[in-house]
Amino acid sequence: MSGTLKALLGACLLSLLGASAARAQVEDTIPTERSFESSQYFALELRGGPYTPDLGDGALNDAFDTFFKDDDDGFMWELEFDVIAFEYADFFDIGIGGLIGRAHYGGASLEQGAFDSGSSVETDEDSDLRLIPMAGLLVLRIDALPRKLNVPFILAAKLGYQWTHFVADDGQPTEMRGISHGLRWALQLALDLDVFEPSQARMMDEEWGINHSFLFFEYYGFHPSSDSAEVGARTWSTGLGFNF
Amino acid sequence: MTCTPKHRPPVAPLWAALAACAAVTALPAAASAQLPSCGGDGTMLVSLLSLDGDDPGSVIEISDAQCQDDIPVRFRVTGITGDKDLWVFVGESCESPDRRDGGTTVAQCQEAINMDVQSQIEITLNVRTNLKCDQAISEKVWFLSLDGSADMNIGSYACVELPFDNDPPPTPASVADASGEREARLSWDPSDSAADYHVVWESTTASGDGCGGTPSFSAGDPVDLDSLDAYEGHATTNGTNYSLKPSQVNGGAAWFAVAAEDAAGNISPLSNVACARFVDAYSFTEVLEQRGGELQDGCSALPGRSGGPIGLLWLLSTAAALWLRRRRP
Repeated sequence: MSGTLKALLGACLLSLLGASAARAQVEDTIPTERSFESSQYFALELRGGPYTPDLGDGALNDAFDTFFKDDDDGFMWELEFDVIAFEYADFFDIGIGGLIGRAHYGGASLEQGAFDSGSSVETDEDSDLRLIPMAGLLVLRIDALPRKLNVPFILAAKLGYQWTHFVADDGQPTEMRGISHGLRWALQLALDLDVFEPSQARMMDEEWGINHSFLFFEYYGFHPSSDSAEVGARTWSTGLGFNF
Repeated sequence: MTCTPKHRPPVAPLWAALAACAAVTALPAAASAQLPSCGGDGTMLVSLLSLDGDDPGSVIEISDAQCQDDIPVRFRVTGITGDKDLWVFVGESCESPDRRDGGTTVAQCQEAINMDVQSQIEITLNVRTNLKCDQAISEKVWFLSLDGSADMNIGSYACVELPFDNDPPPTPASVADASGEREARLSWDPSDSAADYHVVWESTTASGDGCGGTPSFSAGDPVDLDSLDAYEGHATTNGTNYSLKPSQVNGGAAWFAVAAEDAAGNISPLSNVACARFVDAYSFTEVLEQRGGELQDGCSALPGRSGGPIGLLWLLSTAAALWLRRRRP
């Protein structure tokens, strides 16, 4: 998990370095001030972070830790796509979005006798749990700080509804699967990259239609409804986003 | 009678040249029905004989050969006097050329060439051997025979090192204990040059975390294809794992070991002996089923009830947002 997280952070840093390198080539020819900005319709975010479901029962959580001891904080990848429905230029925008993600927890089935006596002896048979969240979100993104005050922070809040498809699989024909649904919320703090590389940002807008790019940290929660499977959590993720 | 190699292949003998250990040795003319031997596996004798008491000439060159559909060999004969019928015979244990007209040994010889030669100073023969590179043979004998009277003289001979691979692959390593309910997944490290692996096993009973008793085979035991049936169970796979099923074992456990076989059919000795046990396995799925009744109950009723309308509302909202943005410049 930590390796994947490092890879994600590395990718973010590389994008910054790439922007720096490109700046050297374009800043002589492209003015720093934006006299042009294309229309902004969408936002795209790719993020990842640890996700340990709270199964709502101490024994279940203990069993989760036992079976997935090397993988019990998982890694949740998510891709979010927002349609910007309303925009108050350089202050805030409101979007409606959706996301899809995936987390996989892999382990081995344990010997029954050893498990019953409180120890764990692994067999050669697999025992997996997969979570595939899908959510619809209402997104409020406030970008007045970087646009008006040149302070490179964007704030965002999200509220929506999530459906998480889960599959518990041990290779038997009767795998256990279902859908858990409930409230999803998120608070996001993003670092606006345009402030550091205005000329690069202008070039990306003119050539690719990408208005803004940002690195972000997001704290979010998924609270399954009372009649739903308990696979919720409150956790964090980080990633890279674009407005275009 | 020694064979001095002219040159040897740089690496393994299989695909390397047919290294002529071509000590072309002239023997004193003597009536003898037995050809000399070349001293072991993977060698071939090429001998020039004269049946009329004349000087049979000399085998002066044996060319390199490569593994193809079969192994072709080219050799050159010189010093033939008079009119002769020249035969080339090929065959394993083809040792008595003077009895080629019906002798039991000669029956194993295959006539490769039969031609007239007339006082030729030198003749080059290209012969296809029908020998395959992946054949494991003990020894092949070739000879050239120059027809004449009943007397046979052995003129000269050469020993040829054939490009056969007689080296077994390394013994598979790290054969690991295994356990499972529906299968025990036996695994091992790959062996260089192995094309197949033979897994052999013997039923026993589980004893704690291991197997009870002592297996009848042990690490390093030689293996050949004929001996596999002597084991209680055996299987062949080309991968580095094998799923042993409970139905293949009498009892709750089995000793097992693995031998590697290369493309030439050489088989390594047995690996270390490991233990496969069949146990009651407990998966996280079963934990959910047994302890998470509310989880299972919740799943079955969810998608169509409270979740569905919310999802529909969200889809409509997204569509409306797209439509609104389309209208704005």
